Amino acid sequence: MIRLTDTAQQRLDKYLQQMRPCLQGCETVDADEVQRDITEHIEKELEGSAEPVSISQLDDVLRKLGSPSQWIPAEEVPRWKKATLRLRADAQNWPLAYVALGLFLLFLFSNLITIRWGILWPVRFWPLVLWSRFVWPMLLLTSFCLARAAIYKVDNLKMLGARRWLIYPPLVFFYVPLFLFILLLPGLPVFFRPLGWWKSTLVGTSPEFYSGTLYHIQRTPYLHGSELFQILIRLSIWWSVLATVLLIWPGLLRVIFRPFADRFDRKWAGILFVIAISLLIACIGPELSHRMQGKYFIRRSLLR
Amino acid sequence: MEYRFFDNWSTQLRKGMLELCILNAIRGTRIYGYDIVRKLRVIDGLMIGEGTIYPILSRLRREGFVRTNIEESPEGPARKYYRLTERGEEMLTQMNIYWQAIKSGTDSISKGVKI
Repeated sequence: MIRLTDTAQQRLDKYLQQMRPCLQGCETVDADEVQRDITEHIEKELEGSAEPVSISQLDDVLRKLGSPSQWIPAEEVPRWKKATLRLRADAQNWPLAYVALGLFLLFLFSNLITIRWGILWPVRFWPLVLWSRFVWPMLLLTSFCLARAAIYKVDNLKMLGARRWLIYPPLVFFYVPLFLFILLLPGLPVFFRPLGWWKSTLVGTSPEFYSGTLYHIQRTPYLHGSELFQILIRLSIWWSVLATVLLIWPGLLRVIFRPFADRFDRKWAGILFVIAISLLIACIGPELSHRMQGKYFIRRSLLR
Repeated sequence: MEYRFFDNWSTQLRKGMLELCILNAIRGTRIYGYDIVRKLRVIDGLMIGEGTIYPILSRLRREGFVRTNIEESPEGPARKYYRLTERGEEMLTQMNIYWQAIKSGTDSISKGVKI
């Protein structure tokens, strides 16, 4: 046996370790036999070298031997083996993307499990509470951060190829609610009003209304129409503000919603601005008219 | 693009050629695995890595074209020697004939000989 320096020995061990999975699974080759032959070859090559053999001398020999992944022709490697090797190489090259997906799946899976346990186990069980309060959000947040980090690590997303689907789930999970929140911000109070909100509003603002009168007013198209126009007006003003901000800093949206908003530019901000202004103009007129008619209508109803 | 094409083409060509050269290197003698590598190393571009030879030797042994026997060596530990089997001899003869036919055909085409 030839004596190697510690670093050279470590390099050799690593090389032999990498060789094993490349040879295993190929039915035409005896992995043990090849490993013995390769070890013997290395010893023969290093024969006569000053001991302990340095890492540079060993590297020369290993370089001539080549990468074990090239030794077996692709058509002789079984499909499952190819997939495993590709996955392993991928996971080594793109660890962030794989970990991001792993954490996201763990989040989804544990979510389902905990919900099911919660149904079966109505009593508050403290590990579940701890899990749902702290671990869930952490898993999701970490998965999102890793997905974003994976994006920043590559210059061009095309380099990720199909691997981009590893990072899309956590990103979409975060981006969709965020996008809807930003887009519909002024309308959100309406969506989150409790059932029967209109009744309490009317009673609150007009305490003299009786239930019979209320019933009559609820059915009038004026109230629904007016509310809708008010929401649309608020949204159109909000969108015009958003569009103005994005016209000044179009990169803002690209940064927030990377990679999905990579093609966003001032042109799209301009389109949003035009839509917002058109909507505003379209809604203001009918709303004013509705208000005037509505007041008249309510007064008349009350007189009955 | 051109590099990739050449790379694919040379890989395919090399694969068959390497087996032919290994069998020819073993023909008529018993030879130590490491010596096969030394013999073939002189042919430029035949191997991507010298390690490629050992899985091929293992496959040829499994398919019964070569056999091995371990012999004591005065220089150190016992060595594994390769020898062609009868089946291997027959296969190699066929392969050489085939290769010669291909080679002469390609030569005549490349020299512009009319068939």
